[in-house]
Amino acid sequence: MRYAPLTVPIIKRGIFLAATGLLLAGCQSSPSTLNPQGPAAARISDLTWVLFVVGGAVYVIVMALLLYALFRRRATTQSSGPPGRERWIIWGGIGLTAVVLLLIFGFAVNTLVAIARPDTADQLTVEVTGHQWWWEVHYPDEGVTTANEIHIPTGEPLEIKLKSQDVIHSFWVPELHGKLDLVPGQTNTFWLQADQDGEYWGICAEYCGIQHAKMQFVVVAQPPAELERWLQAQSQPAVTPTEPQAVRGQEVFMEANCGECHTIAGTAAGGELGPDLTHLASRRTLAAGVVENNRGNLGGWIIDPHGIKPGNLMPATPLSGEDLQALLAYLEILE
Amino acid sequence: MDATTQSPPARSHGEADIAVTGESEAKQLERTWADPPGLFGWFRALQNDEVAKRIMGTAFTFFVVGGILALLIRLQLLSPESTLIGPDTYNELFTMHGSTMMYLFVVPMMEGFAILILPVMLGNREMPFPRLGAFSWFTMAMGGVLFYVSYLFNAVPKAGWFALAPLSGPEYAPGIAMDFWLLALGVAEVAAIAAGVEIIIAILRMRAPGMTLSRMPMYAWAMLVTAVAILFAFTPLMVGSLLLELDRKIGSHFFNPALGGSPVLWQHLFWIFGHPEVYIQFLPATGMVSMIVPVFARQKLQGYTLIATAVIATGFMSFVLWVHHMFTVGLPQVTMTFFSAASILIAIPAGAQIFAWIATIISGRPVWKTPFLFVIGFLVIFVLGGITGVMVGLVPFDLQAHDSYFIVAHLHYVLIGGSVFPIFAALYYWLPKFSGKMLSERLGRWNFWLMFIGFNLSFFPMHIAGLLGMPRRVYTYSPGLGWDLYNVLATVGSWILAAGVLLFLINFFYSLRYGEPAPENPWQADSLEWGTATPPPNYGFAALPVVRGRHPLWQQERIHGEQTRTEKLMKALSKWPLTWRAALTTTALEAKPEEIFRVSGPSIWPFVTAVGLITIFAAEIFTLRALVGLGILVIIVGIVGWHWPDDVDTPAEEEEAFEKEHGIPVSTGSSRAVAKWSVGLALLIIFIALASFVFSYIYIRLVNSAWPPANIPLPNLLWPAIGTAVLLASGGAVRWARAGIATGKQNHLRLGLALTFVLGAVGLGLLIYAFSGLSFNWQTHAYGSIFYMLGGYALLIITSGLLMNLFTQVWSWLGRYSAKRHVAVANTARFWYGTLVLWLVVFFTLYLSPHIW
Amino acid sequence: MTETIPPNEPGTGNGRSRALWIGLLAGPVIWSIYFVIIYLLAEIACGLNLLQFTVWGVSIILLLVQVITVLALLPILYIGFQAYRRWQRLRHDEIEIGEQPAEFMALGGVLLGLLFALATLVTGVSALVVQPCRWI
Repeated sequence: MRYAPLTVPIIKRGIFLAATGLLLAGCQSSPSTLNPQGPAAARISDLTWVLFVVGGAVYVIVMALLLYALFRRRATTQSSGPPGRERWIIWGGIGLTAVVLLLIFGFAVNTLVAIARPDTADQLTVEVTGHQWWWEVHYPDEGVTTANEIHIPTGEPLEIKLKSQDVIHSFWVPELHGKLDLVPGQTNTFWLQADQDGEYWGICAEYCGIQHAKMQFVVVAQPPAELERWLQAQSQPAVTPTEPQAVRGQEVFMEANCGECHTIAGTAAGGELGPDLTHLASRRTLAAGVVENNRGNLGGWIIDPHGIKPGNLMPATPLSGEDLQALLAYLEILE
Repeated sequence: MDATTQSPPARSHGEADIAVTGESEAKQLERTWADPPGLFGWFRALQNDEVAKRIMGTAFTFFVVGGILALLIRLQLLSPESTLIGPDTYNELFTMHGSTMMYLFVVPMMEGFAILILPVMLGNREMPFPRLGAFSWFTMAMGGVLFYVSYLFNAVPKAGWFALAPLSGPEYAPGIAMDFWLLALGVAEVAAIAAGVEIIIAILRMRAPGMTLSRMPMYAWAMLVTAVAILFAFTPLMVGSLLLELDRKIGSHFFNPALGGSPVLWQHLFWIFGHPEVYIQFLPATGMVSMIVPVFARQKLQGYTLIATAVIATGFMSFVLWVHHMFTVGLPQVTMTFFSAASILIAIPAGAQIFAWIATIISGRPVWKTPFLFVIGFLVIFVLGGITGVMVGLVPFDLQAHDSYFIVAHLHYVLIGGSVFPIFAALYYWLPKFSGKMLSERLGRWNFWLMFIGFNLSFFPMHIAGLLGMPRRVYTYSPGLGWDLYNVLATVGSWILAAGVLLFLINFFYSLRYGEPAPENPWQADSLEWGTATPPPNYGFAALPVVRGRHPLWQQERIHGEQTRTEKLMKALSKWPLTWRAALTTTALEAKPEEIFRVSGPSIWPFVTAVGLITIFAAEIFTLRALVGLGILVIIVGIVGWHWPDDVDTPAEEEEAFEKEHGIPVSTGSSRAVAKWSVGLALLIIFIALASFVFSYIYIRLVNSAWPPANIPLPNLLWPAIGTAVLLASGGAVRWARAGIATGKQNHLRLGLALTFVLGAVGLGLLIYAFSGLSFNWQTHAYGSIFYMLGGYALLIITSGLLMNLFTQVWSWLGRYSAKRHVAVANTARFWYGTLVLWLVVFFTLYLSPHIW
Repeated sequence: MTETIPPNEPGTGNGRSRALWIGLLAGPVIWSIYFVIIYLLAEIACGLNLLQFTVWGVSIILLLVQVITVLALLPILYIGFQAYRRWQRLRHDEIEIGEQPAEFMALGGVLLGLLFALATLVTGVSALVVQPCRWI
């Protein structure tokens, strides 16, 4: 039976090495916590690497000790050694554990203090409200409301007020920060900062019902001046259609009662159950980060939302091909 | 100490036992302790072996079912955007998988093991409350089946195993699915608490003479702390479940933020259970490991005192870690830091145990058998789970890891590594003792390697997927996020793991038929369960062993003797009484013989009571209130029948002669020590529930700026204060009654009990009167909900105290009590004192505290 | 207690047994109570916004946490030290460590006292370095 346990460390090591290699290889496309793009995520990532190294060392030491215990050379006659050595292992182990724990606890508390929200008076504030299964994004000072897409100024901290309209959700952009829950009945304050321009993937991290998996969003970091322009554009009411097909599309929108749930600023549509569509065409995704915002997907989403996202709260809207094309033409001008 | 070279005893301990006892006496004992035959007998059975086998068999069945659900989960996640299983079904799968493993597999499995091996390991004959054990199985099995009945009604719970409000509340989980979750599992929770009570008493008061606390097998230490933790953990869960069910059924607002409630309160109540639950699963496993390591290292356990204190420390610390499941809720930093500190420090006792095991192996000489392989597998896996556990106990890291696949990986490393591997080690180790057949070593090794490789392949990659941003509980994921490969590995691993479990089942059933017969002590182990025949006789030991060290079978050539006073007593006990089930209580610390008492015999009433219980809970799922009432009636009949004293045929002179000769009290009824402990534990459970309600009160108060809320006046103190005074007076009356019977004055007792009852009833009436005049109800506001809940709870306990008093009175008029035997009177008094203290706490909380803050 | 005391319970008075149990469990019990108190204090202080009350520029609540920490630490250390002295008196080197019940309880008390004194210290000190009522 000697041969069998020898393979333990080999397999373990194999898995570990393979995994580490894959970890590095897989980083490119993943929203990885170890590929931090903002100061908070960077501090947490530093802590993570320290924990990997320290934890890994502890694991190696314990396993080495275990291997020694199992396979050390034993004299054939002697049954057991004097008790002194065992006591040494036990107390050494406990002492080492305690010291390591206190050190990393200190480091973690230090990190906790370091990732505290910076107190800058003029920082931009955005309110994010969780809905089953999409994100309402509101810039109170600028009067802008959008969905599933948060625009932030690159290199500057942004304060985020998190609320929930229904159940508990959790706000997570792995490359920028840890997560914070959206709890009905309370407002949680969070902050984000991205160091580089770019788009960062986010998702709901607290199970919130049937479409928890498809409650995603995008954080768009852009230079402050560009953000200013974006906010300016988004605060305008919706474009009034002029082309006949788009005019017809607006009628379809009203006839199909889309306005019961959706708002288009500057029209009669003022519903609040679904996302605000005033500037729908400017958004990158549909259905809370699930599909790219293009004509085909939008049409598919309107006709059969449950094909893309089963169980979501938007009802299917049966439209004739002509009406659908008109509606799409209208929605496409809402930039 | 030199175990390997010690020559085996001339004859086996089991044969020695029968030699001391005498053949015919042993046969008579075997009959006395046997379960009744036939189908009806099957429902009345309560032998600990039989009950334990049922519990473990049921738990293992749920393990297999939960495992199949997990395989389906893994199939769905095999590839991105898979449409194999729809989102609804997927959400049901992970909810059922988690709940099954947590509530229906590990905890019952651990308790089943304890009921199976504790009596023989401790050198006694039975558990203290065999009927409670039988009841525990009936409730656990019925609750588990009821839980799966949800599939028949197409109302499968899908709010996750921690069922966060408001997703589990009336608005977002309409229908009866969540009621299945709350109520069916509620039945299983009752089972867990019931078994916990008897495990505590068995370990503290029913050990072999000489088995002091400091010589007790480490498994007993682990189970002692576990069982206490079960009482402290499952009670708040039942309170939380009750509050959620009330929100769902009668429109209270405990977790409704719109009317003063708080969804975060659910998380507190749940995790006050949920975190200790992890240790409830882990500590018994450490106990198993502490038994198995020394046997296969051929060396006594190093650092006994250290390990025992580590187990105790773990038990305490496990209760103040719960907030580390809530770091992302938005709690104050100072709170998170307190809990983070505690979460880190619990690694010290865990580490102490691991180093002590390694030290034991170093100084020993390993023997590679399957149980030992599983223990090594446990160490390799669990240490990694422990290290990631420390990581997620640190707030900043947890902000990233929380609710990601990193947590899924961590919790499976801890639970499969920390519980399931030791359970398999324990199955390979102990099953031969009880089945009488050795399991195949060859299949055992295959079993181990498949499980070990499958496990690591399945769960190690999940760490990485989590760090790469994959949240848990997603039914699918997009391609291109870099998670695909890890999910493929995990799915492949899950099938290898499952193959390992399947191999175990094959090995088990194969051994039952073709296995080699197991000798008395196949592993040359040191603890007492290996010192009786294989499989153990119904009575366990006829002459109870007398223990002289921590490793009786290694240190003592004989565990039955005839020399010392205690040995003579044990021999006498093996010859008398033979017609009723006698067991011994010993003192908690030093295990000196204290009393011989009668363990209750086969009875249909545990089954009846369990049926009553399941009727209530099942009927409540469908809101059939008439049926609920019927269930309550059945329970009352069941409990009365359960406790109805049986007569015994031994003449009182025999008892007295025995008492005189051996200087030890004999009770043909219940044991004084056991009865005292059981009332103590009942009160403990009542007060843990009280603490949970009071915590809820404080919590709801803190989320409201006005208290009481607008339109509700401050509570009026007049009638409640008078009622409180009257109740306190009744406490004096019961004290007086008890003093009366202690000196043998029957009328004094009767009058005192009657006076207590009248004063108690008047006090209760005044309190109810005060309640009836309130201007609000539980639907008005969360204030009203918690006010009625806490008040109603107090009134219920007071009513129970009065009912108990009533029964005792009936018996006192029948003259059943004497100066020497009045356990029931003492218990009634104790319970009543507890009730009064409880009322004072409630009075302060409900009526006085709003005047203060 | 009006019940008869079992006749064969020699020299181990209830008092001695109680002292042993206290020696063993004082550390964890005091720490648990301490922990619940400071946790509830933190919840209440943050819930009712009590941190604003200061004396000499220090929050009364935070001061109170430190006072309670000291009040918990002292008895843990004292009882732990008593347990240590009892263990020194009782230890037998010729047999297994802690096999005698009283020695076991005393040694266990020392170990638990040490661990929970450390736990109390770490818990108390950690409250000093963070911003109490904010999340991050």
